[in-house]
Amino acid sequence: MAVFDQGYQRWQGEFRPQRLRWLPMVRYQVALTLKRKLIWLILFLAIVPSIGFSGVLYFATETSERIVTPGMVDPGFLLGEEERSNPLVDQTILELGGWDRADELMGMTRDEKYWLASCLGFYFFLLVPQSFVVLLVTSAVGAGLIAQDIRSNALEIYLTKPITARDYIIGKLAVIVFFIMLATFLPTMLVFGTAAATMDGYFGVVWPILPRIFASCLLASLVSGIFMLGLSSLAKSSRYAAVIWFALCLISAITSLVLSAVTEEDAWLFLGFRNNFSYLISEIFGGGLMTGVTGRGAVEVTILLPIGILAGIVLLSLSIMRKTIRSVENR
Amino acid sequence: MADLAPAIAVRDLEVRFGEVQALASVSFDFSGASLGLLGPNGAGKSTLIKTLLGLIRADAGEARVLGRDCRREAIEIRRRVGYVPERDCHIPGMIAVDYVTLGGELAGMPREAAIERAHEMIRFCGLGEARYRPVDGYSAGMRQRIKLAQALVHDPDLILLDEPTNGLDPEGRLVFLDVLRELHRRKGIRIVLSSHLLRDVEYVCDEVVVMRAGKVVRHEGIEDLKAMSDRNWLVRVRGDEARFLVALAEQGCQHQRSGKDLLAVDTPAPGSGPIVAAAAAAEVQLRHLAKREISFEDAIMTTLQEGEA
Repeated sequence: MAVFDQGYQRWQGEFRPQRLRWLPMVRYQVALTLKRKLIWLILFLAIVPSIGFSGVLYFATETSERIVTPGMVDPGFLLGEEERSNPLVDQTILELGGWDRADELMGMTRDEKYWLASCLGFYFFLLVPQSFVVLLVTSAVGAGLIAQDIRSNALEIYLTKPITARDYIIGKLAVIVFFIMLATFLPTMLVFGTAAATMDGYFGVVWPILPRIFASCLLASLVSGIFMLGLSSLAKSSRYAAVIWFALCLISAITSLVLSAVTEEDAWLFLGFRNNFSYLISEIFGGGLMTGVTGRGAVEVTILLPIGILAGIVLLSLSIMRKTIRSVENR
Repeated sequence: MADLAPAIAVRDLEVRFGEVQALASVSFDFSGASLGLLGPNGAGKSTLIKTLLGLIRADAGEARVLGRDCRREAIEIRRRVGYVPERDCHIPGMIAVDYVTLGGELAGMPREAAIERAHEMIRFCGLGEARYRPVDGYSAGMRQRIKLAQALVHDPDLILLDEPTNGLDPEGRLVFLDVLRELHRRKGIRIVLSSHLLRDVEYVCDEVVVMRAGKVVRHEGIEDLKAMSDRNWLVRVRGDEARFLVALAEQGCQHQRSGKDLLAVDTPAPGSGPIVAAAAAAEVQLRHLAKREISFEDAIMTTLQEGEA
């Protein structure tokens, strides 16, 4: 009978060259996060608007006459039957772009309308329902990422493995980015896929919007993620980090709106954390989509303002993280 | 002491945290199989370990671990070194087998190998039955053992342990120390054990570095340290004892009473020569002269007192 040594055995294998040293950390953290019911609830909430929009889009296309209810203008009839693509496209332009565009609409081809409606539609989709989801996902996933590691001293375990502090931060950021992309890019793709499947010639015209959607989601997830990690590294409790996150977002939004309304200066809008995204994403989609408060027209400021504010937030957050990690190393 | 290439070579290492000098000109070589780092709290043991791991940058001097420079090759050092931190460390919600596997993967092991090895190490550390339980729910002793498992998963050549027996019950402590002994005596894994528990170091280690206030005050083999008893004697005389004590002081000896009629005498150098000379000078008869057996604790305490002086 063979006798096996149950004691310690030396390992004869070879280490792999590690290009992405942080990747195992991300895999395990994602798996841990997915064990939480709250995350599944938020991901479900994230997909609901896209299912709703997709449904509306599908039925609008299938029953294009019936979707135009009394009280709603059907610009299609202004354009003639041959130009009439889908009343929802026209309606999207008018509802989101402004009713003063009715004249402009008359001179547009179907392809031009597809493009404009998509820019407005996806901008609205990312900025209204999905940005709320970003707020929730960032808080639910990111608040504890560093805070819990500090509290349970897991940082010491990570940093004494062959990874650097930079790898650690990238790994944690990748976790947030993964979930935010899951909650923003994926639902947006569902809407895009429905539009492409139901409207003739849509994909051929609108496909260049895909990298813009991806860039917008990535921008939101990277900046929100880094900001959240900065807050998380300040607190030992994920609850405190989440509360600070919501408070900062809410207070900055309210303050910016009040100051902008009182002074009638659009620049004050950029005091609000989210408004900086609104402007940059608007620029990614072609510009001029962000409107001011109290009915003022499109916000026109130098793009350097939101870039500078977001860059400042990122740098500040990174320096807080670096300082926290240094202090843990030196303990 | 085994004849091995230096696992650790430290030269004039200095680390400063603001006004506090954490390490002051620390120099030693560790070429053996197991080294104990001894010293009171604040002696600089943890700082030294973290400097060896490349977590803390030295302000001056040089430190090499397994032939690699701690400043420039920290990542490579950590791949070949296992570390058991002093404090309780776990990843909230993570089960033990994932916790140890993650350690292996972060060290660069292929995933399948890391999983297999994690199971082996958890079993080796006596936690086989609890491998699918979250580490959060482990007792203090189990957490110490799971930290050892994660330090061993990538089969390091050297393990650095910072106060590893804190929180263990006497039986668990003995089992833990036996594991450490097996690792360096039978498996060739070198060990640096930082502790303020002299018995742990005595039980596991072959040599010891004694630190105080950021300095190395002694670096010797455990047996050499115990041989300090060559300077410690028990003496009984017949005659004028007061005269004898004066003569002892003239010879540079220190003494204290040990029992009813015995004197514990420390000579300035190994050997009983000064005692015999003092007896001759005081014209007393030596009725009893024997080496005093001193414990490891006594030796360390004497060393620390000398360092303080």
